Amino acid sequence: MTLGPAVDALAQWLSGPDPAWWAVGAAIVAVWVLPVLAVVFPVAAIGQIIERKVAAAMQRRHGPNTVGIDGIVRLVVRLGGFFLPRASQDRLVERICALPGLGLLKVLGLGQLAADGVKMIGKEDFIPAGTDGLIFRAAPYLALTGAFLPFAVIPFAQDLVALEVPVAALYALAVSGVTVIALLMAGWGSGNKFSLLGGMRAVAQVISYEIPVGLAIAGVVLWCGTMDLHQIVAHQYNGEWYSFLGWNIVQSPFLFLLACILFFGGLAECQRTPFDMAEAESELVSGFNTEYSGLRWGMFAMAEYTEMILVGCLVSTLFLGGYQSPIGENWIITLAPWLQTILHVGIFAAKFTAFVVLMVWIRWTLPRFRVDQVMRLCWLTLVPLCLVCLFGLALTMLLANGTVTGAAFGRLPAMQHLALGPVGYLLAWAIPVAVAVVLIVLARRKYGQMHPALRELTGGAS
Amino acid sequence: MIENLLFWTCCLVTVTGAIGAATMRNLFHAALMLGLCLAGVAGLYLFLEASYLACIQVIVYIGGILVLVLFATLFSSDIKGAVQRTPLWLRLSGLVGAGLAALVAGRLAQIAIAHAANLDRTRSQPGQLPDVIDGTRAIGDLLVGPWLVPFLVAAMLLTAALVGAVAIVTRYRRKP
Repeated sequence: MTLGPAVDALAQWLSGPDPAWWAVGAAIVAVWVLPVLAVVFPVAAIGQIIERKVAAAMQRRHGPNTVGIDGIVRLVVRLGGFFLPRASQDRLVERICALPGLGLLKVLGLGQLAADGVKMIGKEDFIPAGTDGLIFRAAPYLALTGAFLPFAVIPFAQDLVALEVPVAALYALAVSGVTVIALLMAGWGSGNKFSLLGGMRAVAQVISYEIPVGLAIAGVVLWCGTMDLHQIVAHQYNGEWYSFLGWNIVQSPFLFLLACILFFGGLAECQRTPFDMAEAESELVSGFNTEYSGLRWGMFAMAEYTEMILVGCLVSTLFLGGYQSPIGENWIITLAPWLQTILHVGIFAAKFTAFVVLMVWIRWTLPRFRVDQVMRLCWLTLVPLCLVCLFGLALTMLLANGTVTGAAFGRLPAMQHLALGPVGYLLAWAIPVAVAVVLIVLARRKYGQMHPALRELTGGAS
Repeated sequence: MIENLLFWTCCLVTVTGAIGAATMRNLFHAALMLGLCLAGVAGLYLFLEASYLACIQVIVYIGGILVLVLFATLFSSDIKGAVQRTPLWLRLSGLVGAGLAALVAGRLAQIAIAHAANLDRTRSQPGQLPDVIDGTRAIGDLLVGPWLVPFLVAAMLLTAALVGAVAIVTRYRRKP
């Protein structure tokens, strides 16, 4: 087991060439843990701001985020002028807050985050009678762990990745699956029928949608010949000004479909509307987090926002070129390293933020699916579609390269897949689309409606 | 060394989980302890430079099998283990099983201790061990190469099981 060059270097800097255990421990915390916390906590907060702002915009209201950072100014003025009568204090506060520069402090209502945090920490951590003590208490921590751990392998910029492992994509899939256990623990530990039902619904949904998500990731792994997220990003490199043509999503219609499947599967895995029947406040009084309050409830909420951002990060990394810019990458590489890193992080943030906005948009647009509809979508639509896409990808690679082993394919520099030129590229799009159109037309003409056996299997729903 | 510390933590977690899974009265707690044991084993895979296997261990055993076991415990009418008592013959056979396991573990420990010095010697000479190859690629090559037929047979078996489950469910649904 290796700890990586960054950890080794830091540990040796701390305590000489043969580092002591405390130095290695401190280096591990500094290199692996702190960046994840420093990036992901603000990121979860960003998710919440986006949610509130988009929801407010869609409903034509101001939204809850109106608390400015000027609260600090008010507090200082009140404390400093405690000896003044109340009316004079008010006047003083009004005067100071009317100063021209202080208006900026209200931007986006960022003070709301601090207010929310204080509220959640200050609330009583109520544990009802009949709960399964330790399990009930431990579940939020496990949920948060499962949501945070995948960020360790996400490359935010050229050299900005906490942990470089050759199986990064699989690692992200594996550790985010730990959330399932947390949901089941929360459902069972609450000692409440509705919580248990909500927990079981959530788990059934998450483990079902892990299959299309896993297959979508497998498609990218097949195409790029590697599971290392950094190499997958590098594989999408294109030096021209139209560098977005190197991205996986435009390489083939199958990859485009897989990107959509990954996004919707991820949406289902975070249990966001329209897949939020695990919480279903009208049926299950918000499911597995009914009995939680205060900071423990906050952990579940933070895990949800973190997972949303994780889905955005995964789709961007696997299909949208990761941190690379869409309009040429070479001019960025000529810049100073620190400027490169800032630009790359900004571009990556713009990409995943776009997905988070899309998720919020979907949430406030679509109604909730029924349980059977969610399951049917997964097992009867997404999984077969994924298999078709995988087969089509392998066929494309076979026709273009004569091999699908990835040995000649993935290890070479990027652009290998465009080696067949514009004609081949157009064919790679035209042939599958034409086949799909023909198949759909034929199927509609022949069946027109669902097969009787299928209809019976799905409970008569059309 | 921190690596030793991590290694022994993984061992401790594995053994604690295994003992807890076998001894806890509450079925749900026992299943969760089994999860702890499986997570510890995943950690041990990491020490063998088998990160692919570690990930698969987490996906399949914690994300799949453990969830199945947890669901199955919920079907029990006595999850908390308040009513059910373990019969004497089961306790005795448990003792016999523990004895056999101890024998195997003792023999393994004996072999390990005998080879420990050997291992240290090879490790101190660079170039003696084969270069660490990309385990993922090796596993893939083996699965679609020499082991293709067993791999496909297992896949067919699982598909048959899936179809069978669907068939059973539809037959029960037709009755009323």
